Amino acid sequence: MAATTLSNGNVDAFMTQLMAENCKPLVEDEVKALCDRAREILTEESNVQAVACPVTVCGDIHGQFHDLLELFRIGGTCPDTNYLFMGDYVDRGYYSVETVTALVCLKVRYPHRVTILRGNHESRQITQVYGFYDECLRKYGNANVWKYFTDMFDYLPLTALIESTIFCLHGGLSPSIDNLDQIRALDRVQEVPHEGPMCDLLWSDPDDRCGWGISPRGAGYTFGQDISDQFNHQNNVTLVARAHQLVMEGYNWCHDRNVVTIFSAPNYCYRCGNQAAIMELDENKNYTFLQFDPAPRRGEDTVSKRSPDYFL
Amino acid sequence: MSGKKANGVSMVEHAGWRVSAVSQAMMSSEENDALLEARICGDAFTLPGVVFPHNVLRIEQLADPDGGEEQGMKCVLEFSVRAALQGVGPADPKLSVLASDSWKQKSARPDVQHLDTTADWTFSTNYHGSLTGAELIGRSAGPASPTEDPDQPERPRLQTIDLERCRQTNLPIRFYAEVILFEDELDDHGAVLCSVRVRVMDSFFLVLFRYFLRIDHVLVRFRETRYYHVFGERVIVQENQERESPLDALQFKIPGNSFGDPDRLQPHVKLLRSELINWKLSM
Repeated sequence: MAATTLSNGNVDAFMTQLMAENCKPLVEDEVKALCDRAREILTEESNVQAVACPVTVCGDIHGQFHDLLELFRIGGTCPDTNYLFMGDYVDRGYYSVETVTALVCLKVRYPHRVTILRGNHESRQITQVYGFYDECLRKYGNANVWKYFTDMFDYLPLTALIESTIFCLHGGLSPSIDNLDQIRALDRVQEVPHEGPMCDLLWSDPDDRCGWGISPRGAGYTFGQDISDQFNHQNNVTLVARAHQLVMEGYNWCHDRNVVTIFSAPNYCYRCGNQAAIMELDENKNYTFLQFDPAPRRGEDTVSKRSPDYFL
Repeated sequence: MSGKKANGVSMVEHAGWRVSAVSQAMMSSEENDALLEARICGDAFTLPGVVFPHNVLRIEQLADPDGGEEQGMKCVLEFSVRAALQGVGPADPKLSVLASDSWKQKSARPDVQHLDTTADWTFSTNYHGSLTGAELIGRSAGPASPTEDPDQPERPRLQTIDLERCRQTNLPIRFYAEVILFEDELDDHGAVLCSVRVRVMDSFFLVLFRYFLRIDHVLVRFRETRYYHVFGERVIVQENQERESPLDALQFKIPGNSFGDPDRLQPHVKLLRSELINWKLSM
């Protein structure tokens, strides 16, 4: 199937197959066609992709595909609801392949209603350590599908700007970035670098302490309220919405409501017991947070049931 | 005997002991702030990303209903998240994540300060569990290998964990629980997992408290404490072990995806220290 021949009908059929009760991943050639088409669409998007209201903003999913289906039950299905996802679709959960395939299908089918940003896990290096690579090998017998997806990840936009007032990204601010034009000027089509502004946007965290900090682990920036104050003021935005960090309630305000963290994987890693949340913005930019728990699902116990543990 | 489970609590009574395990949700943002406020973890500005504040494993002797008033103190062995976090020591300044070299050059920026605290960002804990109601018989800080040094003075012969018996997988497990106390992802630079497991067999129990650290491409570390008790005997055997290896040295020995599985990693990691302790029960 050549990329240009991928029709809406094809994509609808993919989604029907994926969303069915016993979701079945696409075959390798279908993934290739899907990723080729996605790349064509994403190439045209800005590093600061403009998004209109109403839209529902979501944080980390991490391969928890059944919880993504629950998210659509709570937030509404596409195209009736517009969505902005802020990265980290893969790794850690058991269904990274199904999760990222479904989100890319939605992007390809409804390119103006769905925005998918890059998270720090949408990277070749990270996915080789945290599960997506191994899952592709297990489900396809080779690394081709991993390669199609990770090549496509290089094209994902880094940030989005909702109605010129809400700035959305996966991680946080960067000491190398004062204004949005500096982000627009970045050459994003590459593996996530180990340092520099593109890395910071996908990795940094807000902190209670003022100014910029480097984490005691020796890598990673933190930014204080003075930094987010100045950034929001200078760029005329009211809020930085970001993901990247697990919070028990699914969302968490900080920096006197300059910054909100949104996390959309309930009972993260199948054991944390946290709620998930999404942020609904209506046409007047009023926000509502919707929290949700994991959907009860058949067969889940079989995943967690293991043979007796004769640990030593 | 039976195991009961409700609201994340499971419990069993067997051979004069009660074992109870509580596994509930991670901390709320409020609980996180309160724990930080209480400076539970030294001067750390952050706690591990996932702390289970209500989780606990408790193993206690039951009073003998026919024992009269002359019974000794009952023995209690408990593992709590607060005590585990209080056991986190000072930071090892030599330890950092792989990406830190390139970052060091950037820290020359005048507007960027290093957030150095003396608290250990790996949360490596020296906790071994909280044991009360037992009297020390003896301890031997053993060498890494079990071969005895002939020049060492005679030491009291201590009981060891009967590994042969523990390895018998044909024996039924009467009760099993795993309780996670805290976890951290090191901001996607590795993993920390601090947990305790117990299995109650017909004739003995075995407890494994484990702190596990993996810094990607840098190192793995285990700090493990085992407790072993044969029902009806008056002794509890405790064994502490510390293991550590550079990660890249292990990379060649181990299939790719077992890095996330501490049980499969552990036998490949070098034993640095071990210590054997015997405790005497008074009832």
